[in-house]
Amino acid sequence: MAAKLPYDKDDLTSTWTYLEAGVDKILRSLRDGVNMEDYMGLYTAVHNFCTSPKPVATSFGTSDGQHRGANLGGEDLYKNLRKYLQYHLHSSVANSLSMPSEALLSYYINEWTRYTSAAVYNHHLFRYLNRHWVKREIDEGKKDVYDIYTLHLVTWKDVFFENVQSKVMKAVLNMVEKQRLGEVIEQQKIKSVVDSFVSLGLDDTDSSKSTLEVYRYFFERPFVTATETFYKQESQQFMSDNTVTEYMKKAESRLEEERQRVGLYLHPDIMSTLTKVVTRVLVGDHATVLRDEFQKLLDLDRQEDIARMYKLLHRVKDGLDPLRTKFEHHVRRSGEAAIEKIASEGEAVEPKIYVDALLGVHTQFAQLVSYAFNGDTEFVRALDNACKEFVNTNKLCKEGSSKSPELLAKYADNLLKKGPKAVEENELESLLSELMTVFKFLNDKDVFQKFYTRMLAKRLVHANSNSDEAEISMIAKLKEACGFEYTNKLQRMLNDMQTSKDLNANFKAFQEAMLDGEDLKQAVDPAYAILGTGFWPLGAPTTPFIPPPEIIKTYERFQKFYHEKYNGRKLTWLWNLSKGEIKANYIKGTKVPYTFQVSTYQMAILLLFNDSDTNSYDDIAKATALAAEWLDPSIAILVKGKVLLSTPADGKPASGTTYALNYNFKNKKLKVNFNIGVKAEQKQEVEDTHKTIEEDRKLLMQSAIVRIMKSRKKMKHVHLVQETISQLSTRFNPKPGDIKKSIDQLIEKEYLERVDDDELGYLA
Amino acid sequence: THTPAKTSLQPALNKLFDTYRGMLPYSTCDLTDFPVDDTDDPDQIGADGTMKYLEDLSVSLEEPVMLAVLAQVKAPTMGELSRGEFTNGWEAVSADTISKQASVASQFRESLKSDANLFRNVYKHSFVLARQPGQKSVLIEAAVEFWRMLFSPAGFDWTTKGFNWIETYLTFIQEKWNKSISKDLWDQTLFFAKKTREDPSLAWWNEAESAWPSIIDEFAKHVKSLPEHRKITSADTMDTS
Repeated sequence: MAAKLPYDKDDLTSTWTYLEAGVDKILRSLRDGVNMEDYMGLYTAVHNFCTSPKPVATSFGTSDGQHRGANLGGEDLYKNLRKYLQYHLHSSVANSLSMPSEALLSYYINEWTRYTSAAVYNHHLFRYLNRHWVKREIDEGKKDVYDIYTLHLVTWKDVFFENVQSKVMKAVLNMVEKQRLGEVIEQQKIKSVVDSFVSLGLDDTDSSKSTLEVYRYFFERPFVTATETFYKQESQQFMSDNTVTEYMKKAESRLEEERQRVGLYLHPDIMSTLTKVVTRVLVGDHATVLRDEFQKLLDLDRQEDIARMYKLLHRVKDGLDPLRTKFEHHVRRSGEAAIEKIASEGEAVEPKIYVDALLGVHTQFAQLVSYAFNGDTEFVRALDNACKEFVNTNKLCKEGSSKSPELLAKYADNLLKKGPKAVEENELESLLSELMTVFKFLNDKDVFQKFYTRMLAKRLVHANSNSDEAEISMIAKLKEACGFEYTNKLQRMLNDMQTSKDLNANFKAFQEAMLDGEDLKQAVDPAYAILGTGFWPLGAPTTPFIPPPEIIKTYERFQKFYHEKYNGRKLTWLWNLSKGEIKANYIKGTKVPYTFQVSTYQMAILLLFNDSDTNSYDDIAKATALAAEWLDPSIAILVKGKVLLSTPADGKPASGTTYALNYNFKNKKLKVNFNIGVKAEQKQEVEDTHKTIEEDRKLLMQSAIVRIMKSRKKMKHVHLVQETISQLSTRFNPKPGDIKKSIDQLIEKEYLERVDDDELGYLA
Repeated sequence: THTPAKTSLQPALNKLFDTYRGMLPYSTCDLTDFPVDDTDDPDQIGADGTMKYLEDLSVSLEEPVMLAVLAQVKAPTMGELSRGEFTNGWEAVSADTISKQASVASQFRESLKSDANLFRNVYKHSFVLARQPGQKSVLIEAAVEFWRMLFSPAGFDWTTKGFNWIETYLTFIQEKWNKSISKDLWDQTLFFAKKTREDPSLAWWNEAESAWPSIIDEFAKHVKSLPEHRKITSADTMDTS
């Protein structure tokens, strides 16, 4: 270092004058460049000043004078630099005072860019100071001493920012408002301001870290307030000038716009606050008006608008509750209306029409829930509640009546039964699934079960089930919905039919082995169904009956066969459900004889005419031993079908009437069915079914109560009632009053006792 | 000191018991001091003996105190007294003579209205008396008679200002209840009567949460529907007694 220094390295004033000129140049015109020589000179000056020993008076009286000396040297430079920066920034403030806000905004950004670039440069220039004096001061816990870069920022904040920030923010907010009103703005400028404000957030405890406090206080807070004011005003204005549906579109797009704004030029930190405020102003404050529109939208089925309303109110706390209530009510009303519509067409409604009406409403609103309410589980629940209401209580199914389960079971029967209206198998499966949708809403599942069991029994006994697979599939569905116990009997019935099939095959082989050719020809071709008494809802015949001799041999043979196979089992013949086909060889003028499909009772009657062309009513009654209630309708159908001719011609089946075989019988079909159930009989059956339901329910309640008490031993009366209701709710909804009566009875029968006025105990 | 006293009363009481045992129908015979032993069971007093006995105690068949006396000696049925229960019952209150027993009876007459424990015992035993032999429950006709006596002003007065609970109850139960009265219903009726006397407004009654036998629930519902009941509830809220 031979060259002479342009300053006295031991003298502060001299050194600082040299440094200030350099720093000033860096601050004002860094863009013009600083040459390496200047940089080295300045850097060395800092180094030299800091390292030169200073014979200063401060060494007196202190224990480590040399150290202090070095300290003081650094401190002087630091203080001078800070003073200079303050001076520099004050002149920037002075320059800005007359600027309009837009110009100020640009000025702020320019100044900021220039200043921070210089700060980086100076930070390097004063590296020696940073490393030694500053580091030591910070290590010793001095506040208000920063590394050189941070010193720049702190000074900026204290001087320039402090003086201009409100004006800058005003400019920013002006721009944003312009943009909200549709003008194009230079949003990059706002982004720069945001970055600058964020940079100024210095952590007091650790200057190397930054916090968002400055940004939040000086940017976010006024920004959010301005936004709130803007949208408050706009939304009120818009709402008074437009329809609610238009408003919702506006609100939706505004919310989206604000969300995007954050990504474009704001700090992500603002997102939640901004969204919250905008949502409150645009949605929360107008929630009542929006909700008031909901019913109208439902009535007009405006799905898109409903979806929009859902999305908007979804953002507000508890915003959807009133909607859900209205929706539930609306669905319920729609369901009731759908049934009222079909109910007006007459008392007896087709099961299909009824079920279709119920399903239609459910399908419509299930679709709405998934489209407009995004499949929201709460809305699904509201839909289910509403469906439960109108499925169980409507104009055709009055409170307390069991019309719904009855009609649904009939509908199932129609689907599963062979017949002209039978549906294709592939279609059948989806219809059964739909049926289950309605089934799940039924309160009185036990009633459905009763009717279904009866009808299944008929289908199986009369072999007119459409498809075995569909029967199995339906039972599987019911089992899935209600459990094993619910379908146990149904399953057993199917099993019985399968076992019977095998049994018939075995019997055929047995018969063939026993009989010779001639006898075999003579024998009737029988089919038997062996039905377990406990599982089938079929009663033994209520009338005595003498089967015709023609079939006696055959059925006795079967009985023998069966008893050999299953010793000790008792067979009861359900003649009332038996049927057969007989050929009418006697009729004149046909090449192929007619075949009559008849009940066994009718068969017994007709076979009498093999021996005699005329038989009196009393003859028939004596020969068949049938009670009048069975005999009379059986004859009546044969007379009506002109198989028999009665004398007198209009004679009722009664003593005194005689019957002759009609040799001139004619029919379009070769196979004629006379085995037709009687209407009155069917009605009686429905009544019987309902009656047994009442009895069954009493038993169900009592056994549930006993079961609960057996496991609990002691229980409060109220809790027992609740528990019983909940245990039985999968089958039917018991009334608390009925449960109380059951409890009364159980106390009387000494299954239970009152251990306290409101507590019951179980008596083993 | 109690034990000797106890044993000492038994002979006297047994003697007194024998006086009434096997008595002839007393209308046809006024030889009251001469017992006629015509029953097979030496430990029982029959109907006529019981009637005579009650008369000697100056207890009328029409007043509830009669039931208190029968409860004291644990009479197995209405016209029957058993030796063991008779002697023990009276010994417990140290009453070994007719006059002492008569004074106990008149004490009962006084305290039946105020002594809840005494009344409850009498009420409970009344169920036993009201039953037909061998039956678990009480015929409705008998129950009505007993209730009318028990819930009269001389017993547990089941009326409140402006409302006659007992008559309303008896009318209702005769109309709506076609079965006999179970022990539970008997017991719960007294409990219900107590509650209604404490608060005749029935504000405490709640069908959904009550544990009453169902007929009592129905009765409560019925009462609430009566205009004269509505009147007393509103009057009651006025004077806060």
